[in-house]
Amino acid sequence: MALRLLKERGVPIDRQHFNWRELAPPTISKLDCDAWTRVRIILMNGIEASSIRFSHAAARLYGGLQQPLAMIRRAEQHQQTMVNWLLPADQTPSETTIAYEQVAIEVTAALALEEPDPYLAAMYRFGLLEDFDHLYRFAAMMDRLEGKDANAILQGYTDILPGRPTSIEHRHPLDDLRRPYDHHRAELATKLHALTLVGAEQQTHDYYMTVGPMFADPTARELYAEIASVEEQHVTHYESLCDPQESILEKWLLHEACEAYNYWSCVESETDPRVKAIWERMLDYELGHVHHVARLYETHERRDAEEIVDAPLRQPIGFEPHRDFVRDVLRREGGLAADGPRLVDREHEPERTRQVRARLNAKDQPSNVVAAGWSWNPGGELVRRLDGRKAGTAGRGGVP
Amino acid sequence: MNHRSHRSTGVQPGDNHTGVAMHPDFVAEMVEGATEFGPTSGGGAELIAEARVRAARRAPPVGTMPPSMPGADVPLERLPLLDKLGARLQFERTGVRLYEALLSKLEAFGGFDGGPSRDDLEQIRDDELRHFALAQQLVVNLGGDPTVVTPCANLQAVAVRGVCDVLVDPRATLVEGLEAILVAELVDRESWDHLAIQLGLAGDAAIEAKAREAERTEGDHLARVRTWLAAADRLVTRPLH
Repeated sequence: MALRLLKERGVPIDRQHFNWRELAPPTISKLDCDAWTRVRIILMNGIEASSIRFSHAAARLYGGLQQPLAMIRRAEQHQQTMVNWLLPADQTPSETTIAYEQVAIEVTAALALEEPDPYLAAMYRFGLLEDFDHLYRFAAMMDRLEGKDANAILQGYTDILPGRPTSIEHRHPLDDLRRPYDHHRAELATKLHALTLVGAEQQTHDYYMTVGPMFADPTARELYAEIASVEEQHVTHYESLCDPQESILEKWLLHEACEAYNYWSCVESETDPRVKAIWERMLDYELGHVHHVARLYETHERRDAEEIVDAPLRQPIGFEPHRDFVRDVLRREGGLAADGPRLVDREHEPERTRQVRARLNAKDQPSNVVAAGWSWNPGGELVRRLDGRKAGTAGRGGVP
Repeated sequence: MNHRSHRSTGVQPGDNHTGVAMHPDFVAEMVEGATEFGPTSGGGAELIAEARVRAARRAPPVGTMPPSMPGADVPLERLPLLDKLGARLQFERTGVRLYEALLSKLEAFGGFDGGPSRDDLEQIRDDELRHFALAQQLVVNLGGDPTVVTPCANLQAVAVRGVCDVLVDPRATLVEGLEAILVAELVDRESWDHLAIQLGLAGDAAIEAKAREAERTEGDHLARVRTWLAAADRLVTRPLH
């Protein structure tokens, strides 16, 4: 069933209340939950964080909106808490990292498949292959540092394979800026897809920046530094796809619509009844936000909010494996690079990017060190050692 | 009074999703993918080891001892002892909190036949508090500052921080809490023994005797925890054949 954002009333913001016990609910079980439940929790934490980040930036620029921004932001803060606190304490930073990359891969793949704008779809596939490689590097790290198999988190839904090697993902900042959609012509789904990925990637970046220093191992610390840098590139990449000509209220309305779209997708697919009830409540709250901001938009801009958010959203985000799609993209587009907003074959990437990369990789290439000769197999590298087989040899050749 | 609680002793059948047997088709595809898309860099795990060696050779210490107490010059030769005493002080202070958390487990889940009573756990908690006071007094007697976090205290806390995580996790049962505190008791008994040996080498028989007494008490704690865990094992273990 399609979601019509302005047809559903939701819960008005003056009836959106929480108490501390609700905000720290019983957690999911790391062992027993379905991986997609964890994926949805991590995604929604990122979507909420993105809205709060936007709201603060808007409040610094638009004094007249500070009061309504503060009202809705407080609800978003508590929504984010309730969602993120579903994660259990026994899920370590490295395990949570694996789950973050599963989110990045599967949500980006789902949106790339649904995206009506071919340029944006290509940009999603470009980013996808890089996050895909991050998962492989972090899985190798987890195996070699802690003796743990990342598949206990991924549950077989997501491949653990090299993508576009992380060590060649480092680009000049100007080669991470893309061409935005035109907000007059782009479909609502296009705008919401872009905002979803901005939120997911920025939260991933912030998470790695928080937990990276918690690791003692020198290679792990360098690896988090390296991949956090790429995640910052990805925020730049996805953010630049959003039209900067959108007014502040239009952007705010889209943020609220994006949250509703994401919660609706969670409601449509959740298998854990307790978590599903949280998604339903959050969806109702977000619909309340959409209506509140729609009225503000109409009052301040003297335009009809239906022009922005009335199109029906027919397709929720597909929380399902995208193995064949990702491998196909890897085969066809693994060799792509960026020259400003254009994707080019790697041999044509700009000299400025080559120079930036050479400087960064000059002393160490932690993503190559951590996964040197490493391939996933059930139970980890040591199972292969027990089997008496030599663990891994270089497959697709070295890295420039 | 103890009463049997299934949740106190037994692991439950349920919906664990972590093993590959849940998704055999997925795993076959994943292994097949690893053949097509092999590693992109040569070498092996030794590269991580080399990075560790390189970093260790240029790393400063985790921390140091304070230069001296105001008004009291601490001879350099006392610093290793103060470092270890600081570790016992911190560990025992944490130990009190661990047993407080274990008492909550007993209250939440109930006891089991052959398991600890509330009195048992309160007695050990009080022993830990006494050992905290002892370590505090010994640090002061040697001219140290009992509020200092010494390098050994810091690293021992890092080494066992998971024990506290288990004990305060509402989902962990009494027996799971006992398994966690076994780790702490093993470390604590061994550490008092190590400290007593050091004090003997330093030639202070009076302090050595106090450390030895603490070591014996910790040995008793360890024996009791082992007994409770053995009782829990007897309750849930059935013949395999």
